[in-house]
Amino acid sequence: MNAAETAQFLIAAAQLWLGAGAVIAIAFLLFGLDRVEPNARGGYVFRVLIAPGLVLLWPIVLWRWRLAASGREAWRNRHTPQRKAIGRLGFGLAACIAAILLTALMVRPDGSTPPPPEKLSLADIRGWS
Amino acid sequence: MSVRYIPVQWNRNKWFYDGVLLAAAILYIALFLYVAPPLADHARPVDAPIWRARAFGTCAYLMLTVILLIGPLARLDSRFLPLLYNRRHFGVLTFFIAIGHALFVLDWYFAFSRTPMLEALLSSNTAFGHVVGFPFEALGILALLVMAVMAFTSHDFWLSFLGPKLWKRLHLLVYAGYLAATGHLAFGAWLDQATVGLTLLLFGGAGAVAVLHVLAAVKERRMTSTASPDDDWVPVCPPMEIPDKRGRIVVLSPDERVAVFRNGDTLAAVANACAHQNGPLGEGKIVGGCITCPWHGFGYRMEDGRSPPPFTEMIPTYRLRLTDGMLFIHGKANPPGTYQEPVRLMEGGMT
Repeated sequence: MNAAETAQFLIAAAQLWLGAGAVIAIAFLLFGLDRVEPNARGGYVFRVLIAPGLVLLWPIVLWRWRLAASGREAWRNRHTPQRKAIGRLGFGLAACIAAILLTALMVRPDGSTPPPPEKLSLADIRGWS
Repeated sequence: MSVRYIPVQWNRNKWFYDGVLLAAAILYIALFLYVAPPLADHARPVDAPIWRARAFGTCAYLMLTVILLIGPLARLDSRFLPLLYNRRHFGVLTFFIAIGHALFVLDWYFAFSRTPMLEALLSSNTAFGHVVGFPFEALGILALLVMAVMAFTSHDFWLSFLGPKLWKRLHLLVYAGYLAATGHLAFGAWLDQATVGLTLLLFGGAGAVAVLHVLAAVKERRMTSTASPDDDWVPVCPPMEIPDKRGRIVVLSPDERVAVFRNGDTLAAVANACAHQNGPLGEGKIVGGCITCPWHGFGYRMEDGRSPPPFTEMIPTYRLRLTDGMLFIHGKANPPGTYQEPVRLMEGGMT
């Protein structure tokens, strides 16, 4: 598969993904939202704002829709943030930033600027052509 | 808080915040477009469409940098907490400016051939095995995708639907997005033309993000007291060590933190995670008799972890006891909203 074919495949896959997402988003907005989210009842304009997320993240939407409808989610899950993981992420972020900047510095050309433009006379231009 | 959803919950503070934000972004882009070109290196002239793309691109990167600076700054110094208050609007505006950058790029670099623009973008550079000439465009697409996910899930509905834990995990993708944006800038525009401004933005901005995140992580490790959960009851501290109307964070397990608060002679313990965005309640204070989250001001009653009506948020509570001048907490959480009799101090700090 060459570069053009890969690009076409990626675009087709993205279109398929978004198409499936659009179908699920419409179904959720029509049949799921009011059941799983009491605060949504009577509110309609905000649905326009959440629609792009429903389209983009449709597998998560399906999973959460099913979980919310079944009422099987453990309450503890909503109250135990992974603070320790966030701390580790902070160190990881710093290390990755350092790696990117160092790599960029190492591969950067020597920084010499190209020679300044030379002012040509009309005769030079005619001679060249 | 949990009342019927509306498109955007604006109030006076948020109007001010958003107004300043928008004005700053417009000012930056205007300066970039109208003040910077005459000062640029004329040995390598840059076309106007490229200036526009760079104005929007650097603006989005600067905004993303500031967004990532706000979190650790607020943890290091509470005076920065007001900046955290409306960070989601900041993120959404950043996404739209990044979209502007992407459209300008597509409309200039990929608009003049028979190949469709997106196809040309994805197929023009595939040298993934090289450092020099690495397809930085792919990094830009990744950063834009992360920003899209974050902007599209910024409404309060998503917090409730996904739960704060999953929502937070999703929004931690901002780290991946920032790294991608940093790589996009470093291996793209900066390698091509390392101007003073671009170098400052890249190395100063990303460097500040790295340093502040490390400092905040170190501070957080120091300020939490770790309890051994071997016993049902684990020691916290003498009650008067907790400042009045403030909290002390106790780590029960790697992922379970409790905030123990003192309000005069009354002590109570609740989960450290706010029901809104899992903000660190233990770093907040008691306002109007309620434990108040330092991030967005969500409030909870000490005795039952419930937000006062008409709001409906609830957080778990914990049992406390005072023995020989030492405060102990029971390691098992009560379900959210459970009433728990607070511990009351007698005169002199003892029950």
